[in-house]
Amino acid sequence: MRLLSRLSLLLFLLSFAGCQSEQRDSLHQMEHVTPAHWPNDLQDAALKIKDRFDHLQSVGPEPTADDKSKVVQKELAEIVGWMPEVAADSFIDESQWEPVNEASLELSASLEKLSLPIAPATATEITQFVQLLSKTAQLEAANKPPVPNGTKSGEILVPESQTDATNEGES
Amino acid sequence: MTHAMLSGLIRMAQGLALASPTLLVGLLVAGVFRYYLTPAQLRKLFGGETLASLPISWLIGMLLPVCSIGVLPILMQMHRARVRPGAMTAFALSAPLFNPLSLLYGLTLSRPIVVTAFALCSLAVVTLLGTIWDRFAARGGSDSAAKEEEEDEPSRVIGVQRLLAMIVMITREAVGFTGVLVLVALLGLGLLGAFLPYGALQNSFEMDDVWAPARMTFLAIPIYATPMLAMSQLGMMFQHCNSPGAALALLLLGTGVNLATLVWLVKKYGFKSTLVWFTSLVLIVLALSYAVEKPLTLPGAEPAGHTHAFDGYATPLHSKSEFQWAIIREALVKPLSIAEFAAVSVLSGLVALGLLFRLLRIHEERFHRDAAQSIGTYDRIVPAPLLAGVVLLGLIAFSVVACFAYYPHPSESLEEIASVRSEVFSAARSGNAEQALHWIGLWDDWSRRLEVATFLRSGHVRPYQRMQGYIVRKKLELLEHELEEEPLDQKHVNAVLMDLLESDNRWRTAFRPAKIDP
Repeated sequence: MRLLSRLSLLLFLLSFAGCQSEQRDSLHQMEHVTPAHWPNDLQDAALKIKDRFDHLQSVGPEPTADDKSKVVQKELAEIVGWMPEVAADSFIDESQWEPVNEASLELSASLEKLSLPIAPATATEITQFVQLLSKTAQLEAANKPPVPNGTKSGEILVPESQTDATNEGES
Repeated sequence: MTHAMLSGLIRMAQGLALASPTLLVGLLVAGVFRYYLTPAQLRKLFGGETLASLPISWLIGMLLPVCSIGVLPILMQMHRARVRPGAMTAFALSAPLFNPLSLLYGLTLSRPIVVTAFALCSLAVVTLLGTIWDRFAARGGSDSAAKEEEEDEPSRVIGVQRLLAMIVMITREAVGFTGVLVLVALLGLGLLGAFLPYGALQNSFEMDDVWAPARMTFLAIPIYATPMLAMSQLGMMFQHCNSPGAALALLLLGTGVNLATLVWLVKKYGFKSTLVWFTSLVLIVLALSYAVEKPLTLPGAEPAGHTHAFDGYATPLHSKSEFQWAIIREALVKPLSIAEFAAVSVLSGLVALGLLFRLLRIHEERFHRDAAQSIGTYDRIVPAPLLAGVVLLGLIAFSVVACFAYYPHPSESLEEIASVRSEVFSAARSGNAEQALHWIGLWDDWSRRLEVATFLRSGHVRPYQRMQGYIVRKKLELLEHELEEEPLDQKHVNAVLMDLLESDNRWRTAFRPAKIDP
């Protein structure tokens, strides 16, 4: 019985042995990796989606094994799916974000069933989405706040708790 | 060896601090069950012999704010009153899994369907396991309970004597069998803390790892986690796109049972019955974990490759760090919230009283007997249905009040966040990583509480609000990583702070009062 319990403990500990082969100096050794095709902003996203759409339009109905169409198709779906986050992290307001979010959800559903060649309805959907992103990017440019006078690039204005609470109370 | 022992002891002490509030609730509810309800009333409360007893027990369990340690003294009273074994197992598992606070918190962690699916999975587990357990386990009961069955209604007197009996019982239990079971439950945490290396579980539960649910099932058996802790760990798992199956296994086994549950079951029902119960539980959890793995995976999710959610189960001490009292103090005292600190203090008082009563041989039954024999001036005879109704309604009212207290009005949450935020910024800018990391955790927690508070008062959280909260938390984590770098790169930290400042501004705008009530 004692041997059995010792064996169980050993097995239990061994099951986690693969998790870490050596002690780490910092917990930071495995950082989050941002995918290479993550868009920098809305305009960049519109370009990235258009590039991938153009590529998929140019390939035949049955791509060869070494064709990169599958990767492009996957990246297209991923970029479209990321758009609510990318748009929310820009200088547009909620009313400008909502159409992007809704269109992204709808297009993502269509892209899940995507097969080549791209159906005309889906192609129209993608084109309209690219146009929406370009239009929203223009709105964002108009919304962008100017850099305050006397603030150097990279300088952080520490938010004051008192000021912030007062603002919320006022609104 | 000293390092391992010290690590284990620190984890056990941390576990005790976490368990204290829910252990107190468990002891109090056990006292009420013992002295304010007859065994027959208790059986009726849990659905009696009807088919509905399993879902009723599941529901009562969901309402009670107890953990897998706090549920133990309640189970003892249920066993004493000969409650159906199936109903007991349904209650024993569901009570630690969810309570209204953790369920609401859970809704902010991922898509609502995930938490709803988890709650339904827990119902499936307790129903299946309850049915099996009803077949295999013998009824509990004791002579004193059987005697009580014969007592007539007038003997159910609420008075000072009965109250004293309950208090003495609670204190004696704190240093009695319940106290021993608490130590057994915490032993699981101690063993993990002693033997798992620093940060050992960071990449063990990846989304595309076929073994992740099985590995978590294995790990979760000795784990003890409170419902809120489990929920925050699930949150981190969802954020890092870890395996949903592993998350479910953590919830069902890590939160639902601990080593003491098994010890108590063996003592009361025997080894064979417990083996059947435990094997069934593990098999059901494994089956459900693998069943939900694909459907609950977020489409297009990008796994982060690691998570810090389980750092709390490995050793808290770096192998290279020397023995320092400051490090131990940091690991023990700093993570305590005000509620935990208060609960530990009250529990210490109960333990001291319990020891005193045991030394002086003062037993609760003395007061109980007196209560049954005399009716004092202030004593009133309370009808059983009224008593049961008050207990149930009181539980619901307590849960509702607790929800609104824990998730205060959004404007109050925003004020709290404002002060936490300025602490984060000033600590991070001045290079005080340790201080900044402490406040980042609080900011993350308040961001979720803000969402729940909004949901509680307006009935919904807009997608834009959710998205802004997600972005702020993501950037907080990036800041956390920058601050954990050795040596600290202040330029990188400042860049993340700049980015965070803009996101934070959008996030607060989304939650400002004018937008909460459309």
